[in-house]
Amino acid sequence: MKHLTDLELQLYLDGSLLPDNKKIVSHLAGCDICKLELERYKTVYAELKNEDEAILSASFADKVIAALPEKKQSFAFLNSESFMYATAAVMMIITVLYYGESFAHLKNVFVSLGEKILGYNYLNFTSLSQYPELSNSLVEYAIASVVLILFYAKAEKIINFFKNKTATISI
Amino acid sequence: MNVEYLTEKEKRLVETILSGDKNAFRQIISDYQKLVSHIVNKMISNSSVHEDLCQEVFIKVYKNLSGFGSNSKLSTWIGKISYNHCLNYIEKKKMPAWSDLGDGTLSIDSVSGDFKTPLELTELSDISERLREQINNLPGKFRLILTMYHLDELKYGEIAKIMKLPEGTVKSYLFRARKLLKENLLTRYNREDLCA
Repeated sequence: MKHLTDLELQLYLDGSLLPDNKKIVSHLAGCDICKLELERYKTVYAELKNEDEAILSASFADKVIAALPEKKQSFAFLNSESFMYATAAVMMIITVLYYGESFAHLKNVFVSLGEKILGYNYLNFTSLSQYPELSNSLVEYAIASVVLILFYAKAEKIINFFKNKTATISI
Repeated sequence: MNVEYLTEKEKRLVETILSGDKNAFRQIISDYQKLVSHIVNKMISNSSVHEDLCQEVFIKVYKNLSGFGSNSKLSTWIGKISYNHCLNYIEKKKMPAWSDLGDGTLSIDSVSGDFKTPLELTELSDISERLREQINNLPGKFRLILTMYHLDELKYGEIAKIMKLPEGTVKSYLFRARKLLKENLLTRYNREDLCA
């Protein structure tokens, strides 16, 4: 009679699916030699399962929590409202400067903006016809600001997404 | 095929910790401290540094959690960090080579340990004690694989990822180590002892 191999006995105990699992069970039922081998393996498995647990102190979790560093909010400032407004303001100035032809023109732009901020003719864009460059710059500014605000609001998630795409567990 | 490695609960837990809730990290510690301490215990013989090393591992896990890509199970990722951290420690402290398995062969002689007098053997007559002694005399890599498989219930593939070994090698080491322990048992005990 051909006895079961060590591999077959181990896989049987591991619960790994073998195509001839039924054959193994029926062989074990009628073979004392293989049954004894299986008992020996069961003893080994039981001891491996019964190994002393590595004990950490009861206060281990407290110690770890206390030692955790403050989370580095590397890009948190990008999400702050003031940063978004500041960025928008810088974008506006850059745009105006780009379209502006001279310092005098820039002065007119700021005068106009001052009037707008004070509430005068705030939404009447037709009044800006005397400053076509300003009209262009406002459109540019609006688009740029929306894009920037959306980007910065999602900056951390976007950065994490790309980090995750690269080797994430190569620590 | 896109495999989901994290449960919804784990995803939420990771998000909570990433949002700055340090206390939520207790759950990670509670879930994985056994795995981490098993790896550290099997790799580092100096038990006085075990807890410190486990702490360092968890701090590393916390610091790198934002980079955890969900492309493996959390247990595999944390196991890998633990394993690498211990390897770095071994290298830094110039400890005996952890990965040294000699020529890769295992024999009963290689794990029998020191010669025991008849009296000592009587004292070690308990099968469990005897087996424990044999397990402790196995090379570290074999012991770690046995522990991760039987105690931490990791799959072959997870152990392979943690230890950067081919899955076939993990299976082979596991098979050889268990066969050796069984053969050692065979030389000392009869069926009645085992079935008692």
